[in-house]
Amino acid sequence: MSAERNMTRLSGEKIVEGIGLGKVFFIDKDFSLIPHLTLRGGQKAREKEKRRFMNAVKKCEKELTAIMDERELPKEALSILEAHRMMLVDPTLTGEVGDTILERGVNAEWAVLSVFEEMAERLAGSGADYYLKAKAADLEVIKDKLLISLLGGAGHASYIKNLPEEDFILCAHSLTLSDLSSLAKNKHIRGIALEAPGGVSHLTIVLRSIGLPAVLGLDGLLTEVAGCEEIVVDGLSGEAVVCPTMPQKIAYIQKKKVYDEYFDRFLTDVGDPAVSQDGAEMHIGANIEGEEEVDLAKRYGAEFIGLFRTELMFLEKEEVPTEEDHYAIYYEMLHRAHPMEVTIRVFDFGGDKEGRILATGAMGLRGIRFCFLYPDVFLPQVRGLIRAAAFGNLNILLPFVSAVDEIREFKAILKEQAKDLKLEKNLKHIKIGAMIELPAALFIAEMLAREVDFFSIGTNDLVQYLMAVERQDKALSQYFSHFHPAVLRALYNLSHIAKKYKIGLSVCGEMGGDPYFTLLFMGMGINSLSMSPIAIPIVKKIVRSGYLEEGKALLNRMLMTTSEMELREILEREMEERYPNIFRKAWIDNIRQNGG
Amino acid sequence: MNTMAEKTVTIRNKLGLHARAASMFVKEAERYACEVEMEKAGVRVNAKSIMGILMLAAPFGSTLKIIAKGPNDEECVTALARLVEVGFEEEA
Repeated sequence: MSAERNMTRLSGEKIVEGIGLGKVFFIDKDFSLIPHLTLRGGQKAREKEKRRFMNAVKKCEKELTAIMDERELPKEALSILEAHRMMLVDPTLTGEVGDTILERGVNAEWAVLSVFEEMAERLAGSGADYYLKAKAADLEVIKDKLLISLLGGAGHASYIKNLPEEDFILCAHSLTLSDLSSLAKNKHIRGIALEAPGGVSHLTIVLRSIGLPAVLGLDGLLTEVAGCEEIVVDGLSGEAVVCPTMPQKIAYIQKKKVYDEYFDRFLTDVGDPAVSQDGAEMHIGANIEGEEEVDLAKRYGAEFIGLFRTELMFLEKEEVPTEEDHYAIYYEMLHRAHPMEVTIRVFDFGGDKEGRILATGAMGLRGIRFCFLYPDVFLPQVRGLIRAAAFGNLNILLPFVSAVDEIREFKAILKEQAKDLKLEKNLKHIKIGAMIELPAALFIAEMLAREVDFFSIGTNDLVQYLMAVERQDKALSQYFSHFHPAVLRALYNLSHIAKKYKIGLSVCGEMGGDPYFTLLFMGMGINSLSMSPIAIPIVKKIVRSGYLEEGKALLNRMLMTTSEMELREILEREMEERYPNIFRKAWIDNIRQNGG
Repeated sequence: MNTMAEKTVTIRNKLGLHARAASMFVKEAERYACEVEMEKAGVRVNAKSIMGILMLAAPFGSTLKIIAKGPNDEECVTALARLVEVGFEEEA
């Protein structure tokens, strides 16, 4: 079909470090997963796939005919639909798709895509034609219809089962969290390349927790990968190399080896506690998305589970999870993690956490507000938590808290449900915490501290709401800064308040795992951080070779600096000078010399 | 049986051979048992395939050749040529 493509190098945002090489596994822009599969099982399998395609054609034709028959349409519209119907059953089209399946042994969806792509090219090359666009649009309609039908209606979910049996890199415009969580379980996925920008989004968070090399914001990726067999994702430089040449592949394999060895160095003593040279201890926990990640967290040296996000695990479900669903997962979680403490955050739907069950568009309808509004969704969760509490050390974290009343109301609900379950004794095992992520919560932090056992600082949302920045918007990205004096001062104040009221405090957002802040946090008196498992080894390394006094010195410089830019420069420079072997710039240069 | 008929026509409707026009053309062609092809600038396509016809650039005023082979080919070409010449009953 397509001629040999030349190598192309695309630049994007590095989201997860590491190098991945593999086959291109392409997900179409409009339909989530359109894979490129080689059929196994010889001629029979090909014939079967062709029949599947012909059935899809029939199904689409039926649908079109039904629309034409049932609705009273103007003559004009009818003739267009009739043209579409004819295009659908056209012998040229069905013949070409059928031949593609039979000759190349590929799946029907991919055959449809390549035939339409070729047609679009032929059309574009057919000469100046002022109604070219209309024709292209007609083709698009037919292609979409066929793909939807082949994919079985809404979607992509069925596809996750059909992933390649060899190393692959997932290439897509964007990914839903539910797609991603299914993909993460695959044995052969080696990296992720997306067109959509990453920034600080939930997608980014989940990608980090999975730890696969990932580069986002790759403009034009989908055009480039069409017709290409292989791709390299370089999460160190933030690049994707489409159709790499043999020497490039060799260089990347070498670079991957150097990086993997570098990273493995941090894993040797990862199980040891993180204590600074002058005796200050930092407790380090893991943020995870599913109970199966507990083992990963342990392997990377987590001392506790600092954030278990419950909303993500239900994204694939069609129905609201029941009390039993909740109980089973929390039980498993606490059981596996024991004797570690586990902080489970109640549902925080909203923002970009799309779900099939619940989608809230409103800016402020999230977290605990949402939970109170939908008891049918929330109460089964509360009951599941109460029942599971007997099996471990459970902390319940309330997201999006903006008032003391919300804590009180939650406590009342907890008590009521425990009474109903006759499990009041379980309540003594439960600690309750407030997520500090709204400006309102910052101002009433002292009042909240009297009501809760711990604070957890969600830095991503805190920065978003403090700075009024839509995270997905590239144009605003300069305002989304962890180095802003308002952000750093907020953290410092919270640390003070937590100490004053003798409650726990943990930084669990993106900043928690960012090694540039580790020393500064120590200086602020913060002694608990929670992060993606993959970030733990490096942060531990920094604590161990650092001094509390250095942290205090950094804090003083921070308090005297008024500019975001200056603060960023100071922190980056200081940390890079102190830890030349750890910080990215230094070791990326190192890897460049040695490898790629 | 070994006959062949052909005719050169000019596209009269403003929108050229768009999807609806092409569908009318194919429907008419399908009424005949003969093979029908359409040729423009050296590119020849199956005239009983709407996709084939759409792939030809045939805007208003351009000319193309209709070629038929087989039973009633003369009749077929005449009917198809007429359809094109009347601008597919489109209001001009």
